[in-house]
Amino acid sequence: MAVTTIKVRVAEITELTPEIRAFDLVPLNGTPLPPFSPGSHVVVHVPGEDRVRKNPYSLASSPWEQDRYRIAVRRIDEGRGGSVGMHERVRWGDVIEIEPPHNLFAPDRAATRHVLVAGGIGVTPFVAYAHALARDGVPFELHYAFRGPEHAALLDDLAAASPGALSTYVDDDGTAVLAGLRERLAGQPLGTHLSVCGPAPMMDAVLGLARELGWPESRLHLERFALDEAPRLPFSVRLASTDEVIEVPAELTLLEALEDRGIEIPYLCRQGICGECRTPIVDGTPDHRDIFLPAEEHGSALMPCVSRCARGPLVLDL
Amino acid sequence: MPYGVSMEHTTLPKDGSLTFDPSGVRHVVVAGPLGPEVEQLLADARSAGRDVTLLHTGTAGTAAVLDKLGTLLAEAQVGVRVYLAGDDGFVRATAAVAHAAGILDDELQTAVTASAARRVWCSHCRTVTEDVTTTVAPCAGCGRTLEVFHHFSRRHGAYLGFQADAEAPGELPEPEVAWP
Ligand code: FES
Repeated sequence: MAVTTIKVRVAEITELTPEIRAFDLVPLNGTPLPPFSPGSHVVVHVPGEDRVRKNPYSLASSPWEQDRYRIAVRRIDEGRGGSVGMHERVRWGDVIEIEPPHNLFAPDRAATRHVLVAGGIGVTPFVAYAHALARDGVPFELHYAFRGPEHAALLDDLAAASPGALSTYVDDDGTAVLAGLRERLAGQPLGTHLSVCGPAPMMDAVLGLARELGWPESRLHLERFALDEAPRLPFSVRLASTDEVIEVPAELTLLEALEDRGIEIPYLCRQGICGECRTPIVDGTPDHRDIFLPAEEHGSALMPCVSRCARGPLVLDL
Repeated sequence: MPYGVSMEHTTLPKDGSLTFDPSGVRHVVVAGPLGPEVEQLLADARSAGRDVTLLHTGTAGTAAVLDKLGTLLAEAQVGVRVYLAGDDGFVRATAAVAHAAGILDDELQTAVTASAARRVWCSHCRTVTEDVTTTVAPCAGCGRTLEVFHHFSRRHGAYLGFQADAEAPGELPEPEVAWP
């Protein structure tokens, strides 16, 4: 399946913090961009030295603004190069390709109130949330923690979209935001849902606090970005149907290596969350790095967008 | 949908037994009337040292209990667990109040502990007939002979009743006692 992409022009690049840049993307010839629901992301085809990286970024603008998308990208030097490519290669005025918005983190429609909790760059989807909830008249409060005042990205956008609803915390390890949340989470009316987006330890701590205060699972929502920090080693896979052997170098994902050979696997998130790229295996032991695949399937499939090889030979049922 | 009952509200709630749910921080038990099931639940909650509110039809009528539950849940906070026990009609009616207040399925337990008689909502005159035990029964509002369907409307807290001889006028099925 060939993915349809949209060509957009980089109309503005804003230095939000020492690590985070916002990119405003506008349509090329005035054709409106597709509308999206809050929580949506776009996969950006990031130009690189030798290849294009496809990285998902949350849309951090108002959902009914169809003449501009905003994404905010934190530079991660030890990452796989997508964010570095955005920071180093993408210039003002460039034309880049993005895939149409897709939502894996939509607000619960039955909720009559929202508590939103963000850590660092995890705040991006909540810009669109704030716009949409404010427009629909659904009350919400947004708690936003960052490491220091110089790391507070998108504060103006958030304050404009959520007057009176924003609380900020300068926080290195989650202590301040947890202390502030304890009282808030103990006093929410029925109908309230909690959504959390941020670093994994922070999300775990916030969800743990909510559970302690009696919140049931159906009211808890989280956006994971499975930033996988484990070192990557090169490995190879074999395709069962053709016996073709494909090398996966350390700097590529298995999904990218397959795509380079012209093998198209469907995907949505490219971060091991959505389940779209599930690929059956016939032999070998994968190094599962996704958060989607249930343990019962660990011997029979893998998510090539993040997972690698623990013990070979790894043979894919392709 | 010929019946005016939205399909998304037709899930038949599951009735099991009541188990104290320690993940909740506040517990509301609604009984019509008190029975051994409920006594056991109260004992479990109290021995866990939890805050329990009990509403039951022993001291107030069903209408008053429904009212009280509505007020209580309107002021309640996330963390509450609701347990409903009684006959079918009572459980359906209280569950409708709980759902309307925003209670979700994992915050609610129901148990039909007494008569299974149904509340039936007439799709013609919109009256609810209480205590229906037979598959075919007269509507308390318009008097039509209603066939009781398995569609349960959460919104009305009642089963759907539809004129029994709508297809072939005059041909009424034999009533059977189905929910004693
Ligand atoms: S693309 Fe979503 S899990 Fe791989």
